[in-house]
Amino acid sequence: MDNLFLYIIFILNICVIVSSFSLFLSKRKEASLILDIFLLFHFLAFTTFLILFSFKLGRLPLATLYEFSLLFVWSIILFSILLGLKIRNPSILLLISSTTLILFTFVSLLPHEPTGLMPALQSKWLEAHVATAIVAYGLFTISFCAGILYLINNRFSNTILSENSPSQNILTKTIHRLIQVGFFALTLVLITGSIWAEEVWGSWWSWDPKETWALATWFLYAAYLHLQSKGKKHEKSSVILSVFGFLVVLFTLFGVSYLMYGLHSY
Amino acid sequence: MNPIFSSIFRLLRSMKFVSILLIMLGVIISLGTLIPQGLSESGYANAYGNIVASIILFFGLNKIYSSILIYVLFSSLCILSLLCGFYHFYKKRSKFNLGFLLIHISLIIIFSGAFISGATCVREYVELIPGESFTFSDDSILKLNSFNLIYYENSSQVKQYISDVSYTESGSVNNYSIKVNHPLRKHFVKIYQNSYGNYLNTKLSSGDILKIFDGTYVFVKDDSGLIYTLSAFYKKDIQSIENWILVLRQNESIIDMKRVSANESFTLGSFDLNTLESGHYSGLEYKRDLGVPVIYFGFFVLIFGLLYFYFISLLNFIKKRKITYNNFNTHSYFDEIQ
Repeated sequence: MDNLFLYIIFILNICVIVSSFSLFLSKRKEASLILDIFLLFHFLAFTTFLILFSFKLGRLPLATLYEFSLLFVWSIILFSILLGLKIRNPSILLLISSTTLILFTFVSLLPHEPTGLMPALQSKWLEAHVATAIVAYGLFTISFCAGILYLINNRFSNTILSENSPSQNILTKTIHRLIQVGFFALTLVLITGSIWAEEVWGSWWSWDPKETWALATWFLYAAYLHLQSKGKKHEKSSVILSVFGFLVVLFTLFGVSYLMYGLHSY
Repeated sequence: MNPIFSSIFRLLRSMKFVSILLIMLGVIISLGTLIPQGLSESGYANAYGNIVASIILFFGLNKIYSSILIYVLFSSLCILSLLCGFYHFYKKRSKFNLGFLLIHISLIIIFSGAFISGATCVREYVELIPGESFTFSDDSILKLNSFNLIYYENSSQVKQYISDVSYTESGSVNNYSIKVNHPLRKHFVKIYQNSYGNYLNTKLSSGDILKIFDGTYVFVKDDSGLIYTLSAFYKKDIQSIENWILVLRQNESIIDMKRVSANESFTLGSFDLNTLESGHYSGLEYKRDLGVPVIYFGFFVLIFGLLYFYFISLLNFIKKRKITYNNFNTHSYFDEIQ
C-alpha cells in the first residue's frame, strides 16, 4: 500500500513537471487549469499518504530522517501552491517541482523501518522543533529555486526562459520574503532544540554536528538579510548567498546524518 | 567626530562587514565538525600529514569551540550587535527599530548566558544499582530505590526507563521519579535520566565481590601479585537468554575468555569465579547551571523582538492599505519589512 502511494506521488510529480513545461511553452488557459489540477492532486495524494502513514505508525511521522524528509518535501509542495496564488509563473513552478522530484526520489530510497519512539523523542518539544524545521527548510527550498531562476536570467538574458520568468525585481522580493519567514522559523528551530536538549540531555548546546550546521545555516541567512537590506547594491551577492544557504541546509539534513555521528544520529 | 574614528565606525556598522563576520563564524564552527577535535599532534600528523597538522594546531583548529579565535569572533558579533542596534534605534527613533534593537540585544544576553554556563556549570555522572546511593559535591544525596525498563508491546525496544529515587538536600528527603525528558528539578539543580545498562556481580575465591558494568573492566590480582583486567560484555541471544562474556587480559593480551550466565561457577585463567546476580544500572547526571535562566531569557527577548518587528510591520501595512487603497494589489505586508 505504501509503495503504491509512493508511485502515485512520483507519477503526479512528473505530471506537474510536464504540465508546467507545457504551460511554459503554450501559455494557454487550459494548460494552466491542467497544471492546477495536477498540483492539487499531487498535494492531496501526498497528504493522504502522510495521514495513512501516521495511522500505521500510531504517531506523527516526526522521528526518523525518512519521516522528517517526507514532511520536508510535503512542505515544499504546500508552499509552492501558496506561492502560486501570488505569482502565477510556470518557470518557477517547473524548478520547484523538479527539485521536489529529485528530493522525493532520494527520500524514498532511505531506510524506513517503522520503529517506536525512543525515550529521548517522547516530548512535547518534538512537534514544535520538527514543525518549525519543515517550515524553515520548505521556505528555503522555494527561495533557492527563485534564486536559481534569478541567476540564470541574470546570466542568460533575452532567452525564452527569461522572457517567461517573473521579473528580477519580483524574484528578489520573493526570495527576501521567503527567507524572512524562513529565518524566523529557523530561529525557533534553534530555540526549541536548545530548550529540548536541556530537558533531555542536560546540555542546551553541545556543538553536536547537526546543531552546529543548523547554527551555521542561521548565520548564513542572517548574513543574507543584512546584505539584502542594502537593496540593489548587493543584490546578486545576496541571491548567491540564498542559493548557497540551501546547499548548507541539504548538508545539515542529509550530509550530517550520514557522514557525522552525534546526538541527532537515530 | 575624528575622521579616522568616523571611518572605522562606518566600516564596523556596514552591512557588508557584518555579513562577512557572520559567514566567517559559520565557516569556523562548521570546520569543527569536519576536523576531528582534541587529537594529539601525532594524531593530526598521521591523518593529514605534518604540514596540515601544524596549520591546524597553529590556528587552534584542534579545539575550535574553546579557541581564542571563536571567542574573538563571538565577542565581535556581540559588540557590533550592540553598536548597530543602538545606532539604528537612535538614528530613526521609531517603534519599528525597537524590534531590531531587541533582536540584537538578545544575542548579547544569550552569549552572556553561555559564558556564565561555561564558567559555573557543575556536572556529575553516576551509575547506580537499586539500593545504592551517591553524595554529590554540594553534599546532597541521591539514593536509587528502584529502576524499571518499560518496553513497547511485543517488542524488545525500550519505550522508557524510570528511576525511583530519594533525594536528600539540606536534611529534607523527598521521593521522585526521574525518566528521560523528565528530570528532577530542585532550584538550580537538575538530575537527568541519562542512560542505563547492565551490571554483573562476580565473586572471587578470596570472597571479594566485583561489580562490573557492561563494556567496562575492573582490576584483579592473582596470588602471585600479577594484575589483570577483567572485562564483561552483556549479550542477549535470539531466545532472549542473557549471557555475559568475560574477558581476562594482561598487558592488552587476552589470557582467557568465557561465556557465562548468572549464578555460575567457573575458572577463568588462574581465577576461580562465581557469577552472582546481574541486573540493570541507572545512569543519572547531576547538573547545576546558573547560565540556563539567562539563556532562556535571551531566547524570550529574541522571540519577542522578532514578533514585535513583524507585528509593527503588519500595523504599518494595514495603515498604508487604508491610505493607499488603490495600490493594494502591489503593496504587500512584506514591503513593510525592510
